[in-house]
Amino acid sequence: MNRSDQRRRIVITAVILGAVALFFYIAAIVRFW
Amino acid sequence: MATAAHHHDEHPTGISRWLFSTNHKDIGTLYLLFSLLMFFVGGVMALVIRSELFQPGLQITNPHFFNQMTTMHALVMIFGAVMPAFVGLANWQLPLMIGAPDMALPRLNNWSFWILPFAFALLLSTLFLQGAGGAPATGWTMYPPLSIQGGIGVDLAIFSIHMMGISSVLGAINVIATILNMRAPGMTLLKMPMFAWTWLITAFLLLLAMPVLAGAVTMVLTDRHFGTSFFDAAGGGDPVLFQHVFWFFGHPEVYIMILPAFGIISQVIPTFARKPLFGYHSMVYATASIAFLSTVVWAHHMFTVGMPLAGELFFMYATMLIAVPTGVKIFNWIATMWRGAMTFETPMLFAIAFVFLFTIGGLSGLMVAVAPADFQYHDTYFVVAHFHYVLVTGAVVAIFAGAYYWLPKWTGHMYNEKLGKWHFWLTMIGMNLTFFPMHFLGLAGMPRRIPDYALQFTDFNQWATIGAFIFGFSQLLFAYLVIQTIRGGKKADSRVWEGAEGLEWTLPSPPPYHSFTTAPVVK
Repeated sequence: MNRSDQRRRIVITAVILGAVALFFYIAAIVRFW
Repeated sequence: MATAAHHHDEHPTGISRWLFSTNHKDIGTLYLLFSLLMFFVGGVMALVIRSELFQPGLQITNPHFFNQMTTMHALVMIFGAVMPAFVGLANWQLPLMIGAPDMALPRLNNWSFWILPFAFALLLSTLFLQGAGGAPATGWTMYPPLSIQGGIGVDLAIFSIHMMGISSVLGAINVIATILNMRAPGMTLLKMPMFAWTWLITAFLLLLAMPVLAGAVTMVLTDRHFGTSFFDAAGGGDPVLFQHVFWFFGHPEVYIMILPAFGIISQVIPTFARKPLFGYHSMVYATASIAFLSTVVWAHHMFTVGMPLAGELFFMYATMLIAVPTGVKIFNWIATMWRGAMTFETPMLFAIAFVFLFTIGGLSGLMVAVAPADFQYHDTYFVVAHFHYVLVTGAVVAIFAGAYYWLPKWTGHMYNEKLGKWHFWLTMIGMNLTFFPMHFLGLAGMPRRIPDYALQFTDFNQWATIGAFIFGFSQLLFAYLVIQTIRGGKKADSRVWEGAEGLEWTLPSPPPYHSFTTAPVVK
């Protein structure tokens, strides 16, 4: 894997994980289940 | 620039090295030093609690201040001492262990750390607001209605918990992004050292749990100030709902504080038994199983709220199931030592102590998991004994094992083995004398979080207080040993320990400021 591919994958991983964290925060409050 | 790039140890000096650092080693050091400082701050609070409990009656605190101490002791130790210690170890070790040049998101890493001193300055400042209700006195669980009625200390604690949560979530994102994307060529996931595996799984738990805690305390904040009634029965809310949301965070949190400890022990025992870890794959699967189960057992913390019987049974059996993968781990550690060429340097002593003492905490955990029996144990000192066996003789002992194990690698100097052994034995005597009598106190019915007690509990409380002072003051030895090792001592070679295996031991001690700038190849 070259450097720019690696950078892209790191950013994608971080964005997905950040979205997951935000989802759990909102889910805890609005309790839409 | 071109010449600077060739210097391996090129780095900023003075305060800017630490303030603006994006280097995983420097940030790891900052985390570890911060954690040690908080360990002493939280420790002083523990000694205030134990001093008050040396005798029945009220001696040195009033009940409100006593409650502030129990609350702050827990918050400081959990979020300030144990968690940052593991993050510090992860920062130092993960890139070295997987052959990466640094963490994946170095600037985020800097931010994750520097949020913490401000969060704790905010939290600790509440101690100086005694005229306005002082520090939060709700217990670290912040159950309403108490947390809705508390003074401004509760608000500041809520803000600081939000900050700690942001720090932890960013740290977790960094760990996952590093492990998934930056492993050296040839290092497949199932070739990673156990410490990296346990941290990867812990990071997912952090990502799941911390936002839920943030959500819970946000709702407390809006109940307090913005007219909502999530938890306020007077407005149609439900205080028990808070307990469900809180423990949905709180139980995974328990495993966040023990899984990296399992990882450390799985590194230390093979080194000093001079054998590869027994059952590596089963260790990985056991860790993942524990993490999964930790998300479906939360209500065992609230057996006494009046759940339906089916709920009690589900949470009881699910909790007991955790003993199975945990037992796999204990078995594997013992099997690793079996017929190994063992030596007993300080890290190994702490690791063996962990296996013994964590198991005691695990077994008392099995006792409190039995729902009908828990009606007796709930909110007594038995619970205090149980979770201190898991967190102190478990997590903290593992942190010591890791610190002694890697200190020569970090500093380039061997620590003083004789002093290390003194620290070990004084710590063992102190901590067991503190926490073991609490089992008896709890079984006899002494409630937790109460500054006074009936006369019959005096003897065991006095033992516990004496033990706490021995435990507390013997930690000064550790601080001295760390400073001594940083300043000098016998040179450590790159391998440090005869039986050590892994990429971090291929680097010199201390490793260069920028290590693995070209990735090593793992066979």
